[in-house]
Amino acid sequence: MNNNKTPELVTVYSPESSLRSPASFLREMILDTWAAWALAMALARRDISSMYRQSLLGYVWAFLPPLGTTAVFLFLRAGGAFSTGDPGMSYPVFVLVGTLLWQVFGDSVNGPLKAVTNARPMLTKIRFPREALILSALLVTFFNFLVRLLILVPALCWFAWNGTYEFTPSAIALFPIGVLGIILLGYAIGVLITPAGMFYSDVSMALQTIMMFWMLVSPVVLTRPDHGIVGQVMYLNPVTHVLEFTRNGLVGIPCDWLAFLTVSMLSVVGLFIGIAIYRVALPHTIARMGM
Amino acid sequence: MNDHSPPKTPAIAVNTVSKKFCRSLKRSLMYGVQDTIHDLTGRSLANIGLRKDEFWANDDVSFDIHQGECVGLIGHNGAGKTTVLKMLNGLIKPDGGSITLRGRVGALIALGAGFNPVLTGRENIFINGAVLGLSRSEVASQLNEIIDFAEIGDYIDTPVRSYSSGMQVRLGFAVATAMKPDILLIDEVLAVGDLDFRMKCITRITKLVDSDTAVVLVSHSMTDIQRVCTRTIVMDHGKVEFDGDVSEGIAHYEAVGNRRAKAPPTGQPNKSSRSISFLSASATVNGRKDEETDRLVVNTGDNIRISFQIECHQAVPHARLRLYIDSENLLVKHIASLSTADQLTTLRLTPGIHKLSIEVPNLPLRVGAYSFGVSAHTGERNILIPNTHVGTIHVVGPTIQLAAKGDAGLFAMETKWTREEMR
Repeated sequence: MNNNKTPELVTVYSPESSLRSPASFLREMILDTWAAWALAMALARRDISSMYRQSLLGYVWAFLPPLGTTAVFLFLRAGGAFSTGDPGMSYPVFVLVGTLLWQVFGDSVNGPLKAVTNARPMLTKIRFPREALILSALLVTFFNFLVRLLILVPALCWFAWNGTYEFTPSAIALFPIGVLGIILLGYAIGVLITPAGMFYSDVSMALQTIMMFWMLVSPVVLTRPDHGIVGQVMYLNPVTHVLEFTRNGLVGIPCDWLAFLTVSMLSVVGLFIGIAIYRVALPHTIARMGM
Repeated sequence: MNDHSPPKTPAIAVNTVSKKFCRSLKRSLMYGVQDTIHDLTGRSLANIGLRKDEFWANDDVSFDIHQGECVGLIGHNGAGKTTVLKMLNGLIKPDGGSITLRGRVGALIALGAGFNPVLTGRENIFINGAVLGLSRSEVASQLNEIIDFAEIGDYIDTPVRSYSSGMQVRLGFAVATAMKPDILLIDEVLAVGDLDFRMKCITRITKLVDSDTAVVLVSHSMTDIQRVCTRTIVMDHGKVEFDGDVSEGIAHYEAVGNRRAKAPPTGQPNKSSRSISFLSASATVNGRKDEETDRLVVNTGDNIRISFQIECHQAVPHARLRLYIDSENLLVKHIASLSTADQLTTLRLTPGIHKLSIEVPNLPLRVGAYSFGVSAHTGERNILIPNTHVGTIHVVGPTIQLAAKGDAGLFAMETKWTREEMR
């Protein structure tokens, strides 16, 4: 007899919806999410260290795509393939910062569903705090952002050296806040679509197409016109506000705090709802995933 | 094994649990979305019956398991064992009833789930441990023991993809049992390892049971079940068919299998085209008449006499009659094939009804269910009656104890141990 092992933990599984007692649902959701951090760290560490292990170029892949995009758009614009309004800064800075930030946004949208899809074998066979999967996606997104800084910082130094950019204390202060807003928005969207994406692969397939068009209606490589239908669409697009805030902040152009904070608040609410739906949907998706 | 203290609250209480699955994937996904939306709106789904293409994977399953009990959950493929285990582990929600668990749950539903092939064994131990709810320091303190138990040695720092499947299984088992759970769920994972490792696993499970862990073991290996379990639950078609003593449970399980394998039992050969037809069979056990051959309940060592009545339509000068004893758990076709030609060099059958009896004194079969059948041949190996299922023998005792007592296995043999002082 082992008397020091007195089990007090009582778990009940029943068909009832866990939302029937909202108070305990909330409490459990917060406790589980908190408890999942340690596991999320381990999973993120695993994903990061295995991500580049079977690759020759390794971390180069984190910033090669934005560099390529930047190069292509610089080339096209120089050749007169399209024209932009006044970006308020040097166009190379505009495009490079824009594409890097868009990549961060894309990472945070794609991350949660990708993490959960990759974890299918684990989900159907092991019980663990499942919030860890989406949290690890968040950690990986942050890590990838740090890697991208490795190209952004030298690039900005180079721009500063040739006179098209100027470092200011406010830029250094505003940039992280802006990036946080971008990640928060992308991540909230990513978590919200995860339950649907676990049922139907249509979601992840559609996502690729949507992200492509979405980029074109966000001020990533093109400037936002003040008038007209395109300007309206871009204005209604929440990414516009967090992206412009961050980029403007970085180059020292006045930022629209109201729009940024509004989008960020909505993101927080969306994220909260997303995690709740994720919790409720998971047992059902696992049951349908098969043995 | 454990002192039988008065039953406390069970570690696992399963109360009229049911679960339905869907045969069509498209529909299944649709129902999944429906169920999710129902849950999100807080409505109950409990009173919705079967929708199109759905079936009960578990139907009205109830049982209690206490601390220090090791229960073998047995049943044929598709009987619903894994579904029960997955509900116990909280992977999927029941559609009816409720499950209450007391204590920390450890599960080995799949070994090595969560192993990343690119990372080394050591890195994977920490991740797998974290997934199972162990803190980093807990894993670190048990790292050496885990590596020793898994017999991984120097491979611990090479990527898991270069491991053999056996090595992955050993590593998974070592990590999962390192957390010393209050409730341990094991699904058919021992089968993968080699014999030595299985014995090690069984020893470890027995130790956990001794320290009051409640264990549920799903296995198709009746030998393993007999070695570690204190009780069995037999499932068939999603329902609990039997709950109780290990040996009886195994006999029950094998009977279900024999029933499946042999149904429909009797397709009597057409009388006109055959010169011999089989009429009936009866049996006596230890001299007492027992007409029921479809379920003979006996003990190892009993004297059994089985009689067959056959009708002969035309004379067969050189006939042979054979009795087969089969077990569906074995790879060999028959355990025994006992022919009249072994003793009666000539069996002359004249037209009319004949009764042939075979006596098996001191039945050497151990606990289990065996089916038997009869066939008849001419001297030239022409088949007069093809192997026809006649009945089953259920050996229910004496109870098989732990392996150490040497009572397990298929056969009882008369043996003699001797001992000499060499020095």
